[in-house]
Amino acid sequence: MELLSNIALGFETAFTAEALFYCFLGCCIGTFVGALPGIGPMVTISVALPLTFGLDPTVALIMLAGIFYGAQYGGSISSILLNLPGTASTAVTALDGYPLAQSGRAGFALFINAVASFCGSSISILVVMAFAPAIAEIALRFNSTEYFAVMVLGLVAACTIGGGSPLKSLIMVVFGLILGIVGMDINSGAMRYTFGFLELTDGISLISVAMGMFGVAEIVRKMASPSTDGSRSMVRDLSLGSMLPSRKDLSRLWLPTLRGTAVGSMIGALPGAGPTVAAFMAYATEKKIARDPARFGRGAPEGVAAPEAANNAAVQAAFIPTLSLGIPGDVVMAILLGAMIMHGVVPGPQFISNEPAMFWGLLVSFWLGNLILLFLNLPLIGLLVKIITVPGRILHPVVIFFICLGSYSVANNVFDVFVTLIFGMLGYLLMRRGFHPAPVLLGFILGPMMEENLRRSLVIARGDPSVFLERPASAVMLGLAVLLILLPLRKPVIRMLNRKPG
Amino acid sequence: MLRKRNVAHDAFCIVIIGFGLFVIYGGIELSIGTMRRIGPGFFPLGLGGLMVLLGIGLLFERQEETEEDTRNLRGLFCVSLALASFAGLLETIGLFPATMAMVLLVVAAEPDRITPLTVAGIIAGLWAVGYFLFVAVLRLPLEPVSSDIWPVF
Repeated sequence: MELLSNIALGFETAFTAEALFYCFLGCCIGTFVGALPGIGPMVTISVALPLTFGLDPTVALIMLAGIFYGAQYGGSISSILLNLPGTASTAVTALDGYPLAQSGRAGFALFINAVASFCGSSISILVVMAFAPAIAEIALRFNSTEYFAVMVLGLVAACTIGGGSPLKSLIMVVFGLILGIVGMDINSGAMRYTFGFLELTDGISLISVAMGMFGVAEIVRKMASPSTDGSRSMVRDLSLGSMLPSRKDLSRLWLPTLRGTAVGSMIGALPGAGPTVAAFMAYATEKKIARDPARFGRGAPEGVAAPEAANNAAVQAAFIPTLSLGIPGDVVMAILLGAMIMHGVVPGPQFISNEPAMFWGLLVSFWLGNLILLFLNLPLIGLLVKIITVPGRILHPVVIFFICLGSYSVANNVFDVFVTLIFGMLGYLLMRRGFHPAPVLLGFILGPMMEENLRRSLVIARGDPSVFLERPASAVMLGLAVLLILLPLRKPVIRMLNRKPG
Repeated sequence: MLRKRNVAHDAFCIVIIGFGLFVIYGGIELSIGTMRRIGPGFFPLGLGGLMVLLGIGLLFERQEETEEDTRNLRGLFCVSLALASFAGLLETIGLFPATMAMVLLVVAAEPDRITPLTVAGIIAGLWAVGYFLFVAVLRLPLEPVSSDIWPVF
């Protein structure tokens, strides 16, 4: 009963004219930027964040979240039609989506994409509704010790699960944590690493770090790659008739969609895994259980349905740790969490009980947004195709312009544009050395919260650090974090042990 | 047999270790406090130490042979200069000249050819977006062209 009244509260919040308008706007922007290869939701949310400062926090978050999940829909369109994934999580869709388009079934592939995405999201929203409040209720019993341990586990998991070198990811997390402590220490009033710049008193701007390390660095990297060629578009017939699947197709697709949703909902809730890992896992699962795996990669509709359901389900499930614990699972969630903080909303387990209208309103708006996207995507495909074929040489100055003015508008100060420039250069150099900048933002957001919880824990324990091991939940989480760090070391250690002397 | 060391990688690890030591030094300069009441330097000291340890660990990590993508120093230089010129000109001579300088520098970084007419179109479009969205709607305190640079008769 309580769930129903909460959902009713959510509908009340999400069905205002303002919320509906910004949800629609967020979804539209998300779809377009998702379809444009190389821009991505991260940069767009960073650019749009300062533009939302005048809005009600709930409406602002509805719009920013709309950009995030809208980008998943848009990203698949360029994957299917151009074989150019708009976002990393839709790369796997191109494996079967593009061959389907090549064989003249582009409309059908886009239809599967839209419907599977909608199913994945809708079911995953129900999972968030069921689990986020329950997890928050457990987390309410946590004190600062457990909360510190959750953050350590979240950061370590984000570094070790996502792939790539865990050591490099850990270095990036620690770098982010260090960036997070720049500014005035709230307890002592001491200035830390501000080098006499008054503009750094409140710390480094999240927007500058995000736009520099992701936006500027990515554009510089893109400029070196060959430009996109719109002539490869596979749009021949996109009438409604060409899109509708046959009864046989439908019966073949509902199970892969449900399996993809299940994989996405589970993976998405884990820190560090995210929609990209979910989509690849769903695809691999389908290929493994298929009677004829050779069809995959040649235009198997299941190869579109399962990863699309998975990546959209993962995007929604990623809100579970973000909204229930205040711990972002991935970089876009870190930005959204930063947006919440900038709008004066305190994230953490109290969020759901303190701001029920915002929490339930957000969840209902996710569903409405997905419904909007389902109906928006199909008729807009023609226009989207024209937009995604805009060459980079026109797009890059436009994006840099928004990055510059976005950085400036946070505090109406050109200092932040210079900070963006420094992080852009740094981001590019780090990227070239194989360091991915995503963990920096996770550390940056969680750094101040971690320090505060460490401080509180030590005050409560009268300076005894063993408190972190005495409380069972904290000990288990820290133990898991250590295990995750040690896990990648098992292979070199086994190799060393097997190597006989002489 | 000894593996051939990657000098660039080792140098980068040393930069990381140096950065960690710098953070430790900053932490010591601030007050570390006691375990019972940690000071503003405690957390940075710990993070600096962790950075040093991770940097040392990276020195010993086997480097995967990855295919190097094209180095884009021209792009990095021009885009950096574009942001710097935008920041430098925005409040001194106005939004429009800053936007024009920024666009010209970003376009100079592009490997593909771009016609002057297209460049002019991009600049005009961004002027319109900049003025209507950021100045008129969002009320950023910016002038399209700074009144200070107009000649006084």
